Amino acid sequence: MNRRKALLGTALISGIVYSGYKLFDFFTPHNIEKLDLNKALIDELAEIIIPRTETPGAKDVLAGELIIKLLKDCTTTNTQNNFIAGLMQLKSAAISEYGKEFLNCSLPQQITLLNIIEQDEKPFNGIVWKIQKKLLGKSFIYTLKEYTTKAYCTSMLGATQGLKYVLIPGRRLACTDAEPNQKSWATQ
Amino acid sequence: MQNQTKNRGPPNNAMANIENTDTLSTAININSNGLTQHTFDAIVVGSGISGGWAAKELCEKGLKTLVLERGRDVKHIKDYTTALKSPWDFDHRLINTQKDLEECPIQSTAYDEGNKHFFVNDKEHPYIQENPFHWIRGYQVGGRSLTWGRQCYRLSDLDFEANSKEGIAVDWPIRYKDLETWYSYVEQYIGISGRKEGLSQLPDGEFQPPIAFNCIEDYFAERIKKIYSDRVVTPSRVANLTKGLSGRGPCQYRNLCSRGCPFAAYFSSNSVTLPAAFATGNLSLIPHSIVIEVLYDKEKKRANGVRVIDAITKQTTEYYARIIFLNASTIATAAILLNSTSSSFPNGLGNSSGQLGHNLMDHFQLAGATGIYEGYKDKYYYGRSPGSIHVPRFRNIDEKTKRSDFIRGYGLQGKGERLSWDDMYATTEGFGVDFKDKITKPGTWEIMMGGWGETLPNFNNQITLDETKKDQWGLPLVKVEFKYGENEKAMRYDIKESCAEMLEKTGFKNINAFEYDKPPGSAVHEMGTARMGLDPKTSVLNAFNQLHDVKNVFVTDGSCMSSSATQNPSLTYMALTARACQYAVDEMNKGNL
Repeated sequence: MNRRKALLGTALISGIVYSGYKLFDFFTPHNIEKLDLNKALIDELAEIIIPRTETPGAKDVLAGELIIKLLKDCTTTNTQNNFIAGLMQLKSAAISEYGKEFLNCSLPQQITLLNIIEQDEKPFNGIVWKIQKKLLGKSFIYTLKEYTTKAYCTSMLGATQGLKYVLIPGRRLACTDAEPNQKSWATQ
Repeated sequence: MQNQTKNRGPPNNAMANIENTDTLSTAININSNGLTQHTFDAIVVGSGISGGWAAKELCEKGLKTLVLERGRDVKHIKDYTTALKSPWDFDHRLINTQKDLEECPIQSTAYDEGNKHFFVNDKEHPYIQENPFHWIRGYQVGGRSLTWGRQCYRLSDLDFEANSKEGIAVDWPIRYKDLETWYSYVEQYIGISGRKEGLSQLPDGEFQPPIAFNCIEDYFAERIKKIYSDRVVTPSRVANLTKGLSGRGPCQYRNLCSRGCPFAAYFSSNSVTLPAAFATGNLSLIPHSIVIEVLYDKEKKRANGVRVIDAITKQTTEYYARIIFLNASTIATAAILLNSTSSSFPNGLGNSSGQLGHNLMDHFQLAGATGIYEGYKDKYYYGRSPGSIHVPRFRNIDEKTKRSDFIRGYGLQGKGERLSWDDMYATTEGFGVDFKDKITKPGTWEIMMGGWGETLPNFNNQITLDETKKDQWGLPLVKVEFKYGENEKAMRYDIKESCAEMLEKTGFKNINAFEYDKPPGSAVHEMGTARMGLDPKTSVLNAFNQLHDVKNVFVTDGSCMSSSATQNPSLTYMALTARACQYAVDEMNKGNL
């Protein structure tokens, strides 16, 4: 707890506190260009969430581009604000904790920072989360994971290689034996 | 009146059932550049699920029929522009934009990027909500038959007798035996997959083989059968073909029905009834034609046509016919009749009872439960099912199942699946290889189910026409007033409890019983605004869907429903339409119409 406080200041501590910046511009559009200015960071964050393994990763499907598009077109103002504020906080946390830009941190360092914020933003479920989401918008890491996952799983490479996809199944086998290392269907 | 309801079956061969050669019309071919004549044997207003049936039946019986559709044309296959697209073909990957939510706050609750072109724009088509009420609409040829849920269930005498037994609203003027053969006729023609269960409250129909349960649905159904003597889990009865039928289908298991099916594997007006009507050579169909009112001839005491405004040019025209079928959908049909005022009918055509526009109903789907099952990790499925599981009504069926807290009942519909990435990103912690691995593998099995509850008819739930506000065509805006009553609230609680209990008793875990506050109308089952009944003083339509007051006007869409029952209603609209068409033609042949 002390470490987290030291790391992130008071803004991200728990529950609804992450809306601290609402005092001045909660419902007004944040500086939306900050998304484009931080495209490289968003690309990297998406790849940290869904890295390339034996199958394509987030960068391979150009997830960053789509995340920004979804943030601009499909996202409420307060969730946009949470996201941009989260990005800024992540950047300054990297500097205060490791003395360098987030993009220059090692992968373990990056994941450490993200884990701390994710734990801080919990719960992702239950009534507190529902109220929080409705009143204050979705939190930074939630949105980041949501859009990264959607960008990846609905992309051609993600759907056909990371997952399994058939445009026209043609038949229904209601109960099959799962294959070893069975991939999930991209669409239901 | 009762003797009118004698059980007349559908024709054995509809195509051969042409007796009426003495038709009013003269011209046959209508070209798209302009109508050469304005007089027909029959006019059908609306081309959705019931209008399409009226068109087919009347055309096949030899009547020169004009179908007026207020929206654009949608040609089968050619205009299913998104049907073969994959998620990555869509700009926003099927996620609605903020602009969608702002411009179409109502319709966007029902559409996505893949089918939004089959829904109206709320800004262009406003209505007034005195209380929140979602009026989901599709103004195009085919109407909402393109986007419907395809679940088809027969009503039973439990439903037809309920109003009478409980002294609620008015008695239905028909009983199950009046519709039974018509249900069969429609089912055989459109193709419905399902399983016979022998239940009195949900009569069996003419079914193609059901869409098979996956292993969790199978497991759930088996366990429910062992634990409960009063209920059964059956494959939903859906208008999706599991076998080919008349050159259509079979289903390719894409589960993208609402974009239009290039395989014609589910039933829609566009793919089935309208082509059949066109094939007779008797059909004229004019899109962009908004019906303003039904015209009434005071001397002859009958309707003689309709006045129409062109949605694009805003020019008005009149068309005339011997009979008129209104199939514009529940709210729109009532609005047309309310707007059809004359010295004989100052409060709307056929409204001597004062019931027109009242008794609006919708099924409520406000509660249910989910649960996960830790087993069958080695099982999966291939193909995307357009069906679901169905638990037919089990409350207030007989003395044993009688409830003290509410009357009538509800059916449950749901689905069993393995969780996928879309269900898991929010609850999977961490970043990197493990996260990716978890969300790209099938998750635990889950069943989700929710209730479709009967809503009681209530005079105060109504649509009226606003006296001052008008739309861009100068037509008065529709005003909707609707509130759920105590019976629905009590039932809602029971739905939640019973869903959770069924999942718990069958070994599911992490059970989440939910209630949500969807506005009424969200089931898109609005009905009841021109109810059928025996007495012209208390109902708008008779046992054959004729206006009591004006016998050559028939209403066979959802407006006619005297009660809502729990079943998805479209099948009943289709059966009533086919039956009313037969009756209309018989009466014309007898010289009564």
